[in-house]
Amino acid sequence: MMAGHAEKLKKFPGFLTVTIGCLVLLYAPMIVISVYSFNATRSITKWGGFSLGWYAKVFANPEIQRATVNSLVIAVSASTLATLLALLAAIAMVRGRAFRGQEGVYVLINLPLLVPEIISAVGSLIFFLAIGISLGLMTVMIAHTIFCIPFAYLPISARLQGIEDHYEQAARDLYANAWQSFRYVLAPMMLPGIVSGYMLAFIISLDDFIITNMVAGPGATTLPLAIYGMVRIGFTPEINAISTLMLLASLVVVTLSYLIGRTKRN
Amino acid sequence: MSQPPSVQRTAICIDKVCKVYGPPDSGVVALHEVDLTIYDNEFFTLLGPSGCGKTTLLHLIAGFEDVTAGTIRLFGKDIVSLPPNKRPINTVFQHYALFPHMSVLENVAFGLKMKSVAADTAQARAQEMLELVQLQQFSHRMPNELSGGQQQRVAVARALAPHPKVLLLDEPLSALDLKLRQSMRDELKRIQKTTGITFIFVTHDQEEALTLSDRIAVIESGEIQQVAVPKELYEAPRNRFVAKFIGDVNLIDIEIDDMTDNGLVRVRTKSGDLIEAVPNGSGHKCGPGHVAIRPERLNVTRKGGDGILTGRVRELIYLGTDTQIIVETEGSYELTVRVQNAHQSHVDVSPGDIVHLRPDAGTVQLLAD
Ligand SMILES: Nc1ncnc2c1ncn2[C@@H]1O[C@H](COP(=O)(O)OP(=O)(O)OP(=O)(O)O)[C@@H](O)[C@H]1O
Ligand SMILES: [Mg+2]
Repeated sequence: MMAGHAEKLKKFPGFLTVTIGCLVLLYAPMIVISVYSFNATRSITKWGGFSLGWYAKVFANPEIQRATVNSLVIAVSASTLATLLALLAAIAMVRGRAFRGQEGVYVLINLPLLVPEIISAVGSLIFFLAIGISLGLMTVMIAHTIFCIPFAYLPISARLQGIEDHYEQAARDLYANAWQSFRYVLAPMMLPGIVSGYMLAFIISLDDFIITNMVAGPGATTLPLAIYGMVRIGFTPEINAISTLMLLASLVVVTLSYLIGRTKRN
Repeated sequence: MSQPPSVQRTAICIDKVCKVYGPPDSGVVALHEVDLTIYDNEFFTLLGPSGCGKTTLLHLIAGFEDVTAGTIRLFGKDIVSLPPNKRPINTVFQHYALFPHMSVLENVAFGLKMKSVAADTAQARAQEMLELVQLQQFSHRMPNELSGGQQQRVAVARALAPHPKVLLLDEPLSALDLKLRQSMRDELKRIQKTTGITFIFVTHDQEEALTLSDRIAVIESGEIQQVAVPKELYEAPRNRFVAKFIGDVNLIDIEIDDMTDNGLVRVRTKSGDLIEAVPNGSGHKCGPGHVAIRPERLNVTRKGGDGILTGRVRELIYLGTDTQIIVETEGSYELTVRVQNAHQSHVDVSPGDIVHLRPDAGTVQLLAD
């Protein structure tokens, strides 16, 4: 059935053109950026030979160094917190007794996925101003944590739903208290989901621009903000080099997340 | 296999236990007032069709579910308010529920580890349990590297390792193929004998129940229908459900005529034959009722008369060791007769013949409903 559908689709006139068009639109810019990050000259249209010079420049740039540290600190703390909260939420939602308004809570947890990001960004900004927290690293961390929860929640709860409750019953039956049952049985069995969720949250936090731009105070510039700032001043292949590095980091983390999430499904 | 002596200690006493899933007034009633006494060292079986509440009863005993009403006592101590980890009862799950991230040995030692038994003692004891189920050479395998039968035995070893007072087994053999099921049956019986632990075994397979159990409780729609030793359950079923659920049976609509002097009840079938039935308990009044007769308890005779059922042979079915004779009676009910082929003379009838059937003495059971 499925194969038949795919076959028919392939025979659709223009199928190949559209597919290639989409792929080019999606990936050509990334390929161009990556290739020209190794360009020896300043041009972003003419190839002047291979060089790692722009990478050397990136690593020597104190502003980028600071932004990288900021980005990592924020991504690590926000994704850790988000994963922790998502784990608790998943256990309550999947394992807890059904309660009134459960669907409502599900929507609430996943709201950041549905709401336009700019709205979340403005909302967060207004909230921080209203309660009088001055903008800085802290506010970015808080906003990212909230925003990352659904990304961590989805793989974790999917994993948990796939684990029958017999295992926890067996643990309790064999004299484990609630904590031991989680610690020795449920948590190890959920680990692929947890790691996968963590990595997804990490990448989302690392790449985020809109919310960060809104709630980052002075001294809380992250890599995406730094790149944006540089682009506004004037485009240099240095930007290509940072972008390529970030792309690489994202690819590695997403691939790992996918691979880990896939292992031991049964 | 005989009735446990009355001096035997009670392991589990289930007293007026009810279980309702969901809101008490509108939920699913899984168990109505169940009363049950299970003795120490007994191989006790809960037998019943799918959805009758067997798993529910096990879960209440293990503590995975709370009772809606009633009490459960373990050696006299009320356990209903204890969480599962505080009950000295272990479970063998239907789908084993072996921890997939632990080796066989770690699985078996898990209960001991949670009970804070010293690591080396726990290891030694786990190894001992693996020997009991003949899997000592597999201790370092992971559960997914074992066959279904081996996983089953690990599950038994894991549940036995902490020395529970009672072992619960929820249809432990249902996932195995026929051959393996038969050998695991013997193995379970042997383990129960060696350890002397009380087994509460759940199954919907009547043959499994009859061959394994000291006593059997038949459950239907959340109610206990009869508790008896296998022989009694087969030969003296209390009601129509039990009679039909265990083995093949002829159920006959009758009118109760009167009592005889020897304690039997004279009953009249729809075709007017008069036979004597063993009353089930007391309190039978004149009026309509049912009797049960096993097909192998009917004998083909040439003469009619008192205490004999009469009909016309409709069909002969050859079953290898037995032949089944379907007899139509005037009362428009059918009787199934089973004769062993070793007794050639008895099968000497053909379709259309009028036959007379004499039940063995004391094998016609007057049912309670
Ligand atoms: N968690 C639950 N919520 C609601 N109803 C339930 C629940 N568990 C069981 N039931 C119902 O209670 C009744 C008894 O179920 P139970 O699982 O005890 O049956 P069983 O005898 O073990 O059946 P099987 O042989 O199919 O395993 C069934 O009608 C079932 O639908
Ligand atoms: Mg069941």
